[in-house]
This record gives sequence, C-alpha cells and structure tokens, in this order.
Amino acid sequence: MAKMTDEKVMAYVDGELTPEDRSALERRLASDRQLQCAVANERLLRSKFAETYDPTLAEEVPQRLLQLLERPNPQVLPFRRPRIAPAGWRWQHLTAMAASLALALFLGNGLLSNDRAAEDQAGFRITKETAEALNVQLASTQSANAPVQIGVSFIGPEGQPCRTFGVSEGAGLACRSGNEWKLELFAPGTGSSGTEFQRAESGSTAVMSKVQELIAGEPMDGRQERQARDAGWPATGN
Amino acid sequence: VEKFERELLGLLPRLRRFARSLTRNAAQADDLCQMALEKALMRRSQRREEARLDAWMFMIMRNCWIDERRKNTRELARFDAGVSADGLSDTAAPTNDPLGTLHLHQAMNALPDEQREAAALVWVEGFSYQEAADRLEIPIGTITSRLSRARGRLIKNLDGEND
Repeated sequence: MAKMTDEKVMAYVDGELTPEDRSALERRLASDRQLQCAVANERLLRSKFAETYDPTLAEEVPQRLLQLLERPNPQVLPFRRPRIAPAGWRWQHLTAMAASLALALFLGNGLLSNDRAAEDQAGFRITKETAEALNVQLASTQSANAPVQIGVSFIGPEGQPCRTFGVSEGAGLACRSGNEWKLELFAPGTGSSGTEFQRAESGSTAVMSKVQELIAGEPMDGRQERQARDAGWPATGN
Repeated sequence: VEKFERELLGLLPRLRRFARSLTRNAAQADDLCQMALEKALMRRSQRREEARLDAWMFMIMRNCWIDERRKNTRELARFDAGVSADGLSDTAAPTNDPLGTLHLHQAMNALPDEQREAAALVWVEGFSYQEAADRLEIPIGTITSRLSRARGRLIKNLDGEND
C-alpha cells in the first residue's frame, strides 16, 4: 500500500478531500498507525493556530479602530462600543450613550416612553433562541447578523450575572436565576422603521437605567465575559 | 451607508486576528487594521453588494500588508528590531502551552509571504482552499502547494524548537 502523502493528510484535516478520497483515507486510518500519527500531528498544528490567534477575538478593540467606524450621527448608535468595557470605563459613557439613544429613538421612531416600556414588558418572553444566545454568545465575537445581540454583561446585586440584549422587538436585561435567565426588564422598540435601532440593545434608556440600578462594580470585559460563560454563569460572592 | 460601518465593527475582532497572523506583533497588527479600515471606508463605493464583506475586507488588508512589505523596508527593519516576544506576551491569552503558541507565531514570521498569507486565510480565518484561491486570484493547485510547503516549514521549525 502506498504511503498517504502529507498533502493528502493536510487536505483531509482541512476537509478538502473529495468524498471518495476521504473514505479511502478513513478506511486506512483504522489500521494504519503511521497514518493515525500523521493525522494527529496535522490536527495538533491546527490547534496551535487556534491557540495562537483566537485569543485576539476576545480582546478589547483599541479605541483608535473603533473611532474610525463610529461617526457622530444622531440616527445611529455606536451600539457595539459598550459591549466590552473600555479601559477607564466610566458611568458618563453610559449616560452619554443612553442620551444619544434616546435622541435617536426620538428622531427616528417617535418617543419611547418608560410607561410604554413597563406596560409591554409582560408581553415579551425569553425564547429558547434568546436563552441560548445569553448562555453562549460573547459580545466580542458575535456576528453582526446574529438575531440576538448581546450587550453589556455584569454582576448584579446578589452576585448573579446579568446581560443586556437586543432582539428585533426591542432591548432587554436578563439576570441569572438558578439555571435560567430571568427577564428583569424589556423595552420594546417602536415597530416597522425600527431596524436601525432594534439592536441598540444596551443603550435603551430604560434598560440602561436598570443596569445602573443593578450593577455591582464594573461591566465585564471580554475575558471576564468568556470566563463567566465557560463556567456556566455562576453567581459570585456567595 | 451606516450598515457598512456596523458590519465592519462586527468584523473587527476577526480583522485583528487576521492582522495578527500576518504581522510580527500586536501594535503592528493594529496599524495594519487601521490602514485597511481607512482604505475600505474610502473604497466603499467600489464594493459589489453581493461580495462577501469579510473576504473583500481581508483582501484589502492583505494588499495593504503586501504594499507595506514592498515599499517600507526601513519601517520593517524597525519592526524587526523590536521583535522578540513582547508583541505577543501582552496580548496572547493564557494557554496551557504558551511556548508552543509563541513558537508557532515565530514560525509564521519565518514563512515566505505567499505561504504565510495562504496559511493565514485558511488556517487562521477558515477560508476553504477554493475561496482562498479565488480571493488571491491563483489556481487552487497553487494554494494547495503553498499550504503544503507552509505546513512542512512550520512543522520543521516547531520540531526544531522543541528539541
């Protein structure tokens, strides 16, 4: 039997073999120790790539890069910015952001009153999709097209992790309660023309003031968020 | 138009990762990101709507990188002078094998440009061989052989350092 070339093994690990070549290789894999080693080594190299470069995804993005993309514009919120707390994070940032969101909502969609938000909160339930996003999605790595957009993550008054989120219907805040996410607040968006704002989740004034009320300390940064997720969102300090 | 900026914001973490795999250290990588973003903002009108934003953006970055490699040898010499580990040590997340990841980055630094960009597109960013070939406008066989040579060198360098 001819030796499998390194190139074949490489293409196999990269998922680039034709179905026929793939099954041929896999048939041999069962009994060919040398081939098993070659595949294991090839996989090890791929895992080194992930170990080396993937941590970049969870890093805080430098302000100078964010600033290039965040132009002052009352119609649009720099909604990604608060997801990972910048160094030297201060409440003023949130307040300014909440103010600009309020303006944006006002200009774009008419006034969203707190009364209305309170009224409609009961109508929103955390769906399976939202719960899954709250469980696994990281603000630092989520896709801009993800249907649920995670905002700020932080520790609440009883040591429970809380996260803000945005969905097509509006913005919300959920905190961990036992093994579930419990909705603390939901502020609905204002309907059809709301697409620009529907993801301005963490900025919604009502949600932001609720965050201010509940937060103990500072929002989680990218690494803390990842650690909390990997640990299954445990409560702290108890 | 705002959608464009928003999508780029969403891409930033991946852009930074790609830049990290092409350059020597974190500072150089963010310089490259900045250059590429500025270029993308200027050229937004040239982008075909149906083109994948990530692939388009990665190619802008790759072209910036190549331009810099060619024109600015003095700058590169400056970057090279400050190589060592400092670019990585403050940015790489803790891993069980910090030495191994550093070695891989050093081995990437030692690759010829055309092998390095192929490795970065496929093994860092997860593009298929065909997608990488399309973006670089070369035949798929060329990508395969560049990757094959790249892996040979990487493995050789990694083995050498483990001895």
